[in-house]
Amino acid sequence: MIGQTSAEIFGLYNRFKQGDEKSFELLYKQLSGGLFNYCVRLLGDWYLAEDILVETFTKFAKSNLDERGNIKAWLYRVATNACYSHFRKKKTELKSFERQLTSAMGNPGPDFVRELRVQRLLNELPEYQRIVVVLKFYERMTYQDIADVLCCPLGTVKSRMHQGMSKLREIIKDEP
Amino acid sequence: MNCADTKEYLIDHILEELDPELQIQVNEHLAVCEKCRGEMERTGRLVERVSASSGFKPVAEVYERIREQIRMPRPKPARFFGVSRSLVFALGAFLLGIIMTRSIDTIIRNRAQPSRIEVRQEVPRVAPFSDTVEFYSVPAKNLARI
Repeated sequence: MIGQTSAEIFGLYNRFKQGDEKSFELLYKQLSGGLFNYCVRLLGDWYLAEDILVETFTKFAKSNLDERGNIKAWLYRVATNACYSHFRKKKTELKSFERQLTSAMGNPGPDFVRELRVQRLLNELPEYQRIVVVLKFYERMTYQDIADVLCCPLGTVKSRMHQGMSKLREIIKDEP
Repeated sequence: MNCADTKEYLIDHILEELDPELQIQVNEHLAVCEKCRGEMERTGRLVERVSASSGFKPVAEVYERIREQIRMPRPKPARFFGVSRSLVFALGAFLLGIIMTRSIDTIIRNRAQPSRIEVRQEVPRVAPFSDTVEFYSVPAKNLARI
């Protein structure tokens, strides 16, 4: 999935580096949604996810990347590293997520319940498994792309995915 | 394709991200293997439950924050006692240049100084009387000429 748009992303990035601000805006529009969703799902915190998005895109604007690299994987890696530093600081809490979800979505309806349920499930997973699950199910990345993001072997990604799925299955088994 | 292979491709099969050729092979195996079919149904329900999210979008202010970060003003240059560093450097370089020029000039001047020559003013010889012949002033070797 990453590879298909990589050349296009790099073309926009190149134009931005030559001084075209519109290209950066386009890049932001293309990539920010997925990246923000990824950060929210990992951290369970809107505001932290916004901060990380700002940090990641600022680094991106100031970076000097070359054509050989996978820009999208680079962006997700930067965001993941930023998330890791927050994982160390505090544990993700469902209550703060619920408050933020209420202010973002308004009246609690079926969507609200569904989003909360998904977040509760994800919070049960250890961070390293959550990352793989979120990248696979929400960003629809291939295992190889996930391995590029995490800079780890393909086998590690697959085994984390397998462990994550087993754990989720156990959690769901207990639920009504 | 056996059960182990099918298990590996199960999530991609559910997410419909497999190559068409692999998709056919997985389907063929699922058609004949009840165990894998059950596994696929369970995994399918799980995937559906986990990925049942419409996704979140960042608010517009986030982009403004990024733009502000990118257009951050340059850090101010360091100052020495309220004077900009570049001015202090320029002044220092100017003074150093003057000192060096003066030193080199002094060295060259000391080297090029001529050796001391004593200048004596010769007392003009008093012309002898015209009728006086100075016999003794003629060198011995020239005596024959006279």
